[in-house]
Amino acid sequence: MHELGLATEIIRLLEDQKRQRGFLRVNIVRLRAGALSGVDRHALELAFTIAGEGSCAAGARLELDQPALTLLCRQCRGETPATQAGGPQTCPACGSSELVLRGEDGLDVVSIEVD
Amino acid sequence: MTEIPLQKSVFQRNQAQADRIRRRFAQAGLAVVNLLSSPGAGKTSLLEQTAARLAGRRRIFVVEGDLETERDADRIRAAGLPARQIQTHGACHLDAESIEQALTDVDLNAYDLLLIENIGNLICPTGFDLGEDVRVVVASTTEGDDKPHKYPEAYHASDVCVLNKIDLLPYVPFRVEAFLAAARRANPGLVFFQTSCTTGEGIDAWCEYLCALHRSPA
Repeated sequence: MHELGLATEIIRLLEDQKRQRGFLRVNIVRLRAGALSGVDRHALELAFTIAGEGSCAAGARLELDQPALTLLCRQCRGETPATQAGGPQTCPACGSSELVLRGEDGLDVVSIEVD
Repeated sequence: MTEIPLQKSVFQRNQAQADRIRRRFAQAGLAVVNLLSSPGAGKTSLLEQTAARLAGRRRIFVVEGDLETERDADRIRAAGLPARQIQTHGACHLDAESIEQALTDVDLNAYDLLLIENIGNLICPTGFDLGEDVRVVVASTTEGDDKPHKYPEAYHASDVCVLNKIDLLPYVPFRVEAFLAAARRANPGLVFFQTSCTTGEGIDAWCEYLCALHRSPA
């Protein structure tokens, strides 16, 4: 549901670009999703296929760059991957428990390939 | 085939609308709070308690978001506050456009505080700015204390965290300290309140916080 809204917004943005720049169709859409954006890759791909029907981006390929969630240690400034279970509890480098999630929450269209 | 660099946010249209209503709110001197939670954490109950405590102290307007029904707005009106219900009919979050439409014929100058109860959902509403000053995530002790680990986006994107239903702590396995640590990991700057809408514990502190909110001049 959420991803369908996002996909609809992406299609709207691409149609705007088509009107401004006069290209025929979009073949590839390159997206960057922040680690804290809550975007699910598979849901977004499915939603994009549905939302794109009949648009200038019908059948276009979605390339989603989404960095993994990491934890930043506030003591040693080291970064470590965050696990699904919310771990690790302490910094693997210095042992501090002052770990803070690090990630962006945005979703950007980085570039498109068009004909 | 030609590559065109764009660097455009998918949220840009909502952001532009949010910026526009934020200016309207600022001109009216209205402080705006956006409340998020999972379904059933107690957002509406918290607003009912808030209505009772702040009656006569602050002029409050409430916007209620739900998929269906007018039930929550009816509850708020029964608690003595004017309320407008947005029914999204399936959409999982409120956006700035829906807030703007809901408030079209409301005289914002007649109020000090606008409380927006978002759709019960910890994922979708987080990307959508509603022009608020403060975003509040409401959790409850009947949920898992690992919620901030599982839904870090909502905690990361909020300013305040209210832990509700603390009267049930003797009966549920919820570990408050583990919850607070997990929430702080997602967002070290969170301001916490612990409340019970049944006993009234902690409601005064929450209401004093709301009373202290002032919209900075436009």
